[in-house]
Formats: sequence, C-alpha cells, structure tokens
Amino acid sequence: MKRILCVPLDPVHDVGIKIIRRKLADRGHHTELLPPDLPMEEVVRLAATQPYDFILVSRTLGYGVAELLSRFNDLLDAAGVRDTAKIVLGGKPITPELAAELGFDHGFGEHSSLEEIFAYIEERPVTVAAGDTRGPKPSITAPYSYEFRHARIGALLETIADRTLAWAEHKSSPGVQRARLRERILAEPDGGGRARLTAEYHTLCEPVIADGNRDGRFPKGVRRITDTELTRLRGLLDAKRPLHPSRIRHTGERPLLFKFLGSGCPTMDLLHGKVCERYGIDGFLIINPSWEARYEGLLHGLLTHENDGTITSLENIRLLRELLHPSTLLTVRGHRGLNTPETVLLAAHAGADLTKINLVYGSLGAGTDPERLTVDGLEAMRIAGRHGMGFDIPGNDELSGVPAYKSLAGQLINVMLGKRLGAKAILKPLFCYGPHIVLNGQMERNYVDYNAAKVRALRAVADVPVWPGEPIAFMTQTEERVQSANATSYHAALAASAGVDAITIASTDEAFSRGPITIASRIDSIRAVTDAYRFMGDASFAPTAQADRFTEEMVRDIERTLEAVAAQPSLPHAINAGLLGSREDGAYPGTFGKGSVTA
Amino acid sequence: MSIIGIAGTAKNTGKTTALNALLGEAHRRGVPVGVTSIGYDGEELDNVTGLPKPRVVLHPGMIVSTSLRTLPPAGWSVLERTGLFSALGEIVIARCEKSGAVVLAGPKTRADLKRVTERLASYGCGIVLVDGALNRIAPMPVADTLILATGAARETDIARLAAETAAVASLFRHPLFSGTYDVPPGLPRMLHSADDTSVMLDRHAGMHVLHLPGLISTQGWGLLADALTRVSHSISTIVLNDPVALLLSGVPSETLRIIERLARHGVNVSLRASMTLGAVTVNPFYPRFTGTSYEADTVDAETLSRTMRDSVKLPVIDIVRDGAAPTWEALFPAG
Repeated sequence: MKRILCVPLDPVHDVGIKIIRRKLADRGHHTELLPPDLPMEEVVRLAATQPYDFILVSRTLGYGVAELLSRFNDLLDAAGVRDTAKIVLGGKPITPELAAELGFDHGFGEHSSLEEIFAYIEERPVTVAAGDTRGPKPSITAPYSYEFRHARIGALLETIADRTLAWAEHKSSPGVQRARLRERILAEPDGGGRARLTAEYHTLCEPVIADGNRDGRFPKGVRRITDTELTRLRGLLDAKRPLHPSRIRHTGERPLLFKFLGSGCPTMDLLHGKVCERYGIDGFLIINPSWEARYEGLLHGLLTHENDGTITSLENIRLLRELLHPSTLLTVRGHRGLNTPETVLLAAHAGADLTKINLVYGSLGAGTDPERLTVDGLEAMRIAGRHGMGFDIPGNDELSGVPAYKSLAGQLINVMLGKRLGAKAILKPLFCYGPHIVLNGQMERNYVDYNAAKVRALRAVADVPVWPGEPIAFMTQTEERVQSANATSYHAALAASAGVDAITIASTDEAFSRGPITIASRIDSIRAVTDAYRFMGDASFAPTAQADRFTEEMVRDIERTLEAVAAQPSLPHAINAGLLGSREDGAYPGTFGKGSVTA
Repeated sequence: MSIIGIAGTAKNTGKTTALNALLGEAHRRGVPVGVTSIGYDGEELDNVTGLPKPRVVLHPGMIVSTSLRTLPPAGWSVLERTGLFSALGEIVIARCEKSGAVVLAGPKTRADLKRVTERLASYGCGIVLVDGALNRIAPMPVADTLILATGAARETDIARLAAETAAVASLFRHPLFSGTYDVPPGLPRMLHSADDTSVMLDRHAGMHVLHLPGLISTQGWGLLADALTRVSHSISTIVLNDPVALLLSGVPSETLRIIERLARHGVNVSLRASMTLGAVTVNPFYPRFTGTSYEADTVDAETLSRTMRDSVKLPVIDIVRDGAAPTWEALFPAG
C-alpha cells in the first residue's frame, strides 16, 4: 500500500487524475485528492505535512507552465518532501524527456497505459510491455474448407477448370521458363553454374532488363540502394525491438487490416511500414511499378525507383521481410503481367506470406494477353501451392465498369483453379461505388445493402475467406482528408459487421497525392478505423431487406455467367468473348505478351 | 575540487551556452572536468518551444553523469552505475572517448546531485560543472559557486530584469550565521499562511535564534513580518539553510524588502551555508510566442549588458559577444 497525494495543478483538466486516483484506490492504495487549482505554495505545504510515497501531478502545458512546474519541484525539494516522495507528472503532451527536464521522477503521457502507471507506483516491472504484445502470425486461409456450398456453381467451376487446365496442359511461355530457370539459379551455389544459368535467363528477357542486370543501365528513375543508405536504415529500424502496437479491433481478431506499400523506394516503404505497425496494422501489400509487369524479365538487386510502385526483386522483398515485424503479413503482387510465376517464386523465397493472382482481372483490367496470363497464372498457382502460400484475387475489374457478379464469377474460377493446383485463394469483392453501381442505382439508398450482399453471396457459394478490397470505400472518397477517413471507417465497420477475414484500407491522400503518400494520411485512416471499431464494438449493421434481394440476384447472375463460361473451350476463350467483362462494360482483353505462348 | 552550478532564471536564458563555454575553456586549459545536468539538456530542439538549441559538446577524457539511455552507442566507457534514476532511467558515470555532442539527463534532487558530484570527484575531476534546467535552483546548494544565466527569455523589459537580478545577487550576499540556534517543534516545512506564522509565534517560547529548515513563501514572509512587528517576542535572528531557501520564497525583490523591514525591527535573517554567485551571464535571445508557436527574437544586446553591469556588482558576460574566456576568468581569477 502506497500513500499517494493526487494534485490537479490545473484550473480545468482534473478528469484524468480523478480516474487514476480511483483506480489506485481500487488497488488498495491510500489516496488523497486535492481540489484543483490550489496555490502551489499551499500544495507544497500540504504535501509536507505527511510522508507521502508519491505526489502525482496533472497539468496541461501552456505558456510559462514549464517554469511553474520546475518551481514546484524546487519547492518540494527544499521543503524536504522529496526525501520520501517521488514526484510524478502526468498530462497528454508529457514525455520522459520533458519530465526529466522539469525535474520530476517520472512522467506519463498520452501513450502511457494505466498498467505502466500502476507498475511504477507499485515498484514492479510492467507486465504487459515486458515482451512483444504482437501475437503469432495469423492465417487467413487455414479456417476454411474450400468446399462449394452451391452445388451447381461448384459443378460449373469444375467444368471450367477441367477445360482450362486441359487447354493449358502442354503450353509454356517465356514467363514460365524464366521462373523455372530462376528456381534452378536459386538452388545453384555461387559460381560458374549460376553465371551460365543467369546468362540463359537474360536471353529470355527484354534488353532493358538484361542491360540493367548486367551493367547497371537501368530504366529511367531506377538505381541501386547504396551501402550507406542500407546501414543507416538498419540503424534506424530495429526489427527485433518489441512492438507494443495500438489495437485497432475493439473486439475479436478479425478482420485483419492491410495497407499498401509501394512508394517506389523500399526505405520509404519501411519507414511508413514501421509507423503503421505501431498503429496496429496487420499486413502490407507490396505494389510493384506497372512497367515491371510489362517487360519480360525482372531486375535483380536492392533497387529504388523514383516513381509509383516498389520493384519486387528478391532482395527488395527480403529487405522488407527482414525489417518488418515477424508477425506482419506480407503480400506481393504477382498477378497482372509477364512475370507472374517468377514474382510468386521470389515472394516465396523472400519469406512473403501471400501473393496476388487473378487471371481474369489481370487480362481485362491490367493489359496482359488472356492466353499468356492463363498459362503464367496457372504456373504461379502451382508455385504458390508448393510453397504453401495463399493468394488473393483482387476484384478491381469492377472499377473498369464490370458488374460485380462478373467480377465475382471470375474470382470463383480462380478459387477453383487454385484448389486444383494446391493453392488456397482469398476472395476479394470490392467495397466500392463502382461505375456499374453508379449507372444501375444499387447504392442510391445506402452503401450498406449492396456491399453486404457481395459478402453474403460469396458465403452462400463457397467456404472460402473473404477480404474486401482494394482499398475499401473506393470511389466514395474525396481529397478532403476527414471525409476520406470517415468513408474508410464506415466501410471498415460494415466489413467487420459482415464478418470478413481482412480488409485493405487506403490512406486519406491515396487517390489524390500526386506522388508518394504521407505518413500522416496513413495514420488518419488507421485511427478512423480504430475509432469506428471502438464505436461498433460487438454491435453490427442491419442491412435492409433489399440486401437479401441483391444477394439472391447476385448468386443467380454468378451462376448464369459461369454457365456461359463453361460452354467455352477454355478460360481465355471466355475472356476474349467478353463473358467476364465486355467492351460495353469497359473491359478490354489485354495485349501484352500476345503470341508469346508456346506449345 | 570545485563545483560550479549553472542556474537559469528561465528556459532559453543561456545555460547551455555557458556550460559549453566552460567545457571548451577546461579542454583548452587541460583541466580535468566532470559534468552533469539536474534536468535534460543537449537536445536538438527544445522540449517546450520546438526551437533549435545549442548541443552540449564534450571532449575525450571528460567525465559525465547522465542516464544510460541518453548516451550515444559509441564513444563512451561506462565507469559505474549509480543506482540513482532520472525520468529516463538509471544514471551512470561515463568517460568520453571521442569528441561529440551528448544529451545530459542527470540527478533531479539535491540529495542525488550530492551523491553524483562525489562520484565525479572520485575520478579526479578538478572541476565539476552542474548544468541547470529552466529556472530550477533547489539542487544547486551542492555547488560552491553559481553562475546565473538570465536574459530576455526571463523578462524582455531590461530595467526590470536588471532590478530583479540585483535583488537575487543581494540575497546571495546575505550574512552567514555561526552560533547555536533552536528549531521550534511542529512547524510546517513551508510557512505560507497566517496559521503557519501563528504556530511559529506560539511555539518559539523564549527562543532567540530560530532555525527554519524548510521554506517561507513571500506571502509567509509578509505575514511573519506583520506579526513580529505587532506582538512581543524574543526572536532576534531567523536562520535559513542557504541563499536558495531565500530565492525560493518567490519574488526576490519583495522578499528582500521584507527582510530589510524586519531588520529595522531588530530581527535579522541569516544563513547556515553560503554560496558564491560568481558571475551573471546575459542572453538577449527570447522565444516570442506568436499565438500558435514560438519564434526566435532578441532585445538589444549592448543595452542589456550595460544595464545589467550597472545594477549587479558582479562580472556580467554576454558569452556570444564576449567569448568564453571571461566566464572562466570570473570564476577562477588566479588562472
């Protein structure tokens, strides 16, 4: 039992110290609370009347307050109070450095926990902060059976998968060959063998990639990260330091929260990533430059890029993996270009947890030839399966104007193909105000029903994880940061209410930054979501009866779409025929890598 | 060994500049020196105003006492842990191996400072420099000599600043008492209210020389003077611990005026221990509050130095204008 005098040296702000006093009293300490705003000399006089163990002082900072608090410590010292009592300062802006400067024994600020205060008073180590408060790495795919609850849709998907795998059976591509070569290079010890294989690899690359790898003539804006930069970065970030993140979810362990990293510069990505980890983010999606998907071949080494998108070289992903917290999930985008299988292979070797593959969206929204992406994507799924990596299926084709049911039908095809090839998929319905919705009015009354219907429809069809993306609230955000943060937080609350496994959230300046996004904007949206989760707790949204009608329509339209696809000889045929997104919808089959598939 | 305290009248009055001047002179003259801070000093940006600050620069061989957490990762040998703590963790004694900037966060109370200066002395430091913090003064009686850093950050009205500093200097010249005294029983450690002064009068019971081990506030001095000039009593002398006990009363000029009034009524105020005020440093800089943040501003340096010299009968140094040597020479006139 400690004798504690609580002193609100503040005309107004004495709520915090009252709460702390009450909690200390509950823990069996003898506490006394002085009235607020007593003259300092009077406080010192009272403090000197009894041998207290602790004098707790609360005070907000303002003009001249530092001198005032210093004088308070002087008076306590000269009056002999400090012979027995420790003097502790609390207040929102208080840091240990400020407490030291003002002469207090200790200081507690906005980020201090009650447990830290109790531990200090009770002269024992802090129990929760002793180790790492971040738990083991969560698995998104493990709880799911990947069984199809909707028998007819399941059967159609089996047919589509049979036909597509048969179509692809004896086909290959430079992308597939490079991935196989790269696997041999990774297994080969340093030396002549590796050099020969690397030379062979470069014969399968476009000159701009081969030149960059051989003699450093990189595409514009790309350069190597220097040793000095690397040393300073490692000095700045200590990945092994225990992490005491803020908690985003108020109840439960889902949904996990992801953010994008892809400033072009791994160093900047890491600084942003470490801040986000501190604010409780569970994982990151590494977004590569769009040109990386369009060249045959990948650049090697630790590389920085003065433009959007971080180069997904083995070394870059390894650096991110090394310096992010071990429990942080890392997803590497592989799905939409000419290097899909190799990117997935590198991600697996670098220790990433997940990848992104979508044969349909990669063809219709990202410009790659459907035949090429199908051949490459199937190989990528095999690699993901061999390495136990899950993959998510971004549904961003909806942003081109493709209706949600077609996007979801395409995603379900990827789920079945993954299942056949041993890789576990994650469905990613968009939580967005997409063009098709704008034109057809599904969100005229609210944003809740249609988004909820997407999740319900997918749950009705299959036992597969659902992760709305990407980011949630797409096309409902403006460049005003508060509005953007609010929009994100409402969608995040809906996602939690709908029981999804994960969400991806944007920064408040993501759509309007015209350059790298800022750390403050990342914190905006994380804090907004944290607040929404505190507000919602274990309560939930109640969609209207319209959501049920949307769900029924959605399942029916998915089934109808898959029937049409199943009638085609293969997935590429169906994509080229516009069955999963037509020119009228705004989707065009891509042309990168056209004609590169070999028998 | 000589212990030099550097106290300020406010934040940004030039304590760190004075400390750096003395550290530089000690280095130049080859004097082994130890250094600590009763607060937190040497940071790049001020903890309160956010404005840039001078760094504390140490040289090889200098001994420092600071919190382990503030020591840079290299360039230091930790000589011992003290078992004393600042708000930033355990305080250690360390030797500087490589010139560089350091953040100081040392002992916060008089008792802790005494222990730390003893430990620093044991490593052969001829001089121990104690860096102050803001307007804090309570631990400083551990020092033999004090430098008072004041300036526009305390008060931008130069005449008022000079008058206040002159009053402070007078309090330091207060006479020492060397005789026997009595301590009235059951007195509060802080005499501040009319109740406190009545208790004192009730309990002095024929004592002539009273020792008050705690403090009397300026308000307490006023009440005491009123009582002692109104009622009959046997008190001839009131003995306080040291000049700092007088300084902490509150407003030095007011305290001084009341003490003079008491003397006219036959009650003298004396001190048990003295401290030399060796020099006053002046700094024309002040952080001007703009309503939302602070900006750097200055008063006229020449007027500040001249007016201060005319008021306090002590060496007055503007270190930025006059250089480091005059401060050293004011403290160690023999060289």
